[in-house]
Amino acid sequence: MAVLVEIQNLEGYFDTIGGDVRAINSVNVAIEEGKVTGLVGETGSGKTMTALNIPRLMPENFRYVSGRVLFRGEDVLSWSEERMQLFRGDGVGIAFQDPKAALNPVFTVGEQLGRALRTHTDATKDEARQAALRILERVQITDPGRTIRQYAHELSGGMAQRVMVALAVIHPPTLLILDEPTTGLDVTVQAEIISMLRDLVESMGLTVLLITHDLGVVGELCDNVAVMYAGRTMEFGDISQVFEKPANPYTRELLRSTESVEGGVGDLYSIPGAPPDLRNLPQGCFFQDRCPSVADVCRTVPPVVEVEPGHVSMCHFAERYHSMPGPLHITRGAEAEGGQE
Amino acid sequence: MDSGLSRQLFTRLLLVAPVVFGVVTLTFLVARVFAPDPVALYIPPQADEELRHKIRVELGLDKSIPEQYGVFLADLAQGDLGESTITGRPVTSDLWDRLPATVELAVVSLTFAIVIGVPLGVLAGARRDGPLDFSVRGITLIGMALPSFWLGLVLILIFFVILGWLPGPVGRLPLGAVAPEKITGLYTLDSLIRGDLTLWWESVRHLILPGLTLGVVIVAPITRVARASMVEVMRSEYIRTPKALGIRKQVIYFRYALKNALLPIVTMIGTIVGFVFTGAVLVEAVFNWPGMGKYGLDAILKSDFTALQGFVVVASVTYIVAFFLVDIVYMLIDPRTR
Repeated sequence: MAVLVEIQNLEGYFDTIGGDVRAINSVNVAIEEGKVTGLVGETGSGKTMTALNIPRLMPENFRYVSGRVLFRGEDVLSWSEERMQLFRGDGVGIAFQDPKAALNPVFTVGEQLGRALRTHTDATKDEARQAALRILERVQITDPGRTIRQYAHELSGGMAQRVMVALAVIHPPTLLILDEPTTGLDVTVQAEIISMLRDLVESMGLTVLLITHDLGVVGELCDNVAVMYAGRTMEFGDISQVFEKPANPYTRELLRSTESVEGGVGDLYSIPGAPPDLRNLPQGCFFQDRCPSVADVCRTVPPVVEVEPGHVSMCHFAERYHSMPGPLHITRGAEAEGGQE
Repeated sequence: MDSGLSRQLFTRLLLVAPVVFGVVTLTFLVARVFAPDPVALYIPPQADEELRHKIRVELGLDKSIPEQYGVFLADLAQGDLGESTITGRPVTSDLWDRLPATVELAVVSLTFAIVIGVPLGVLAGARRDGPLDFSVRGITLIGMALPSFWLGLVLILIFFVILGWLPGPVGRLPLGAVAPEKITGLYTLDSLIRGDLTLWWESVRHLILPGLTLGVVIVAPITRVARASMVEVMRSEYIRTPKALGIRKQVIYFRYALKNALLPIVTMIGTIVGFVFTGAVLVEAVFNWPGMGKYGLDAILKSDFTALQGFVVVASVTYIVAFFLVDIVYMLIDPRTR
């Protein structure tokens, strides 16, 4: 499959009064055409900031250090603002996190949908209205004729999320970014949204970059996954590779904490410690303070190791982790031995 | 109009009544209790007590304050604001005659200020810290600091004294010119209706300098409020969304952002409408413009307490009406307030 977007060695920081906040430190992600790529990590790991580089919507105080964002081989970071404006909404679209805040409070859903379509096509107002009704139906809104006349504050959380997705795909972009599409919703609504997204992506043949902190959502929707920590992609590969044979201690710990939630037995496992301060990052590996197998070599920046074709990990011990039994075995084994490792 | 909107309007109208009542009462108290004895205006200081008493009775001042208040309210309810001591005419007719002059000045200055101030503020706020923003901030700061009468005098000096392009401060028409027969009282309109183009042109020329002066005075606060409000709105997530959709900047600024930024701007314009109708005293004085503000000023200078009282009532009601209109505009703009 062809690679649509490739983010290479991206590095940048926020210039703030309190010093530099190093939000993005070495990000490497390849988004394959026609596939769903997950970007997973804890809050503050730089997922959204990474994605916002593609449409170049970074806050004004963001400064690049290095890296390229290739869209079909061309670096979007070098494009003019005029070209970017044509690219946004057409080459790349985003369904933002917190849709209620992302929808304009004083315009109806229909007006916003219509404008999104007419920006990129020659559709008349009436055609845009028809298209808005159709797209609302596709995101499984029960009464599109009613929703089209509503304002953001009149929508439920699930409805607002559906409208947000509709807004991003009424003119289908080559790449769709979904930022935390299930966060803040009831569990039942989450399940509905996931199934709606799966149908939509399949029927429209979309290429998707999905941002989430929920590994469960990754498992449901993604083909590939990039695991992020403190602005670095720690591991990248297809989900069977990453989930079954993780080659990075952070991925392992993340999978372990998720399993303990989903398994519903025993104490909830959470990774000890907290992510490093982005103003004051440690030398070498950023996970060193929380890593179960930290060694002296971890004070130096870890290499990006390709443990198998298409499966890379940023760790000094990538090969060793990759050859270990999968995390499923670890936790199940641990349970049998009395709940400890 | 949907039912929610009309219900809200009705509630607000109900609230207007007590406010008007309070203002009227306060005006009465200030004029009767704290103002100097009006009788002194009618008679020489050496007049005897008998004459003094006669005039008191004539003016109704021999009655107790509550009684006077009752009479005042009863008159007011019939639209009677009393008679001016100086002009000897009903205050209502005086004010009514002056309203068209004020309306002409208000329309010209407000149009100027809104047409210039809102787009300028929007662009400055949308591109914060850009070159336009710096200029706008600097110029409006100077604009706010300039005294209006001084600005008026400078404009007269330039356009009348030096260049001779526009008439001097002689009011609404050249000295000796006869006003068009009253239809609306707006000379610019009445002269057109009568088909007198020469008179129309004169009335327009006389309106330019006072309109511009007052316009410059009020454009600064409108621009600054528009800018500040836009800066706030441009930071919102709902502005990032249309950017991400590739929607044109002009549409984002003047449609998606401006409608959200409009509430403080409309509030400011409401305040300014009240101001130009009744508070443009200095500009009216400089240009000898026979408007309502000048009437109020003359009433103060000549201790014409009935006229002053009438002026204050009308001024307050103007503000109340302006804010009521602002409330209506709010509801039309923001669906969350309906």
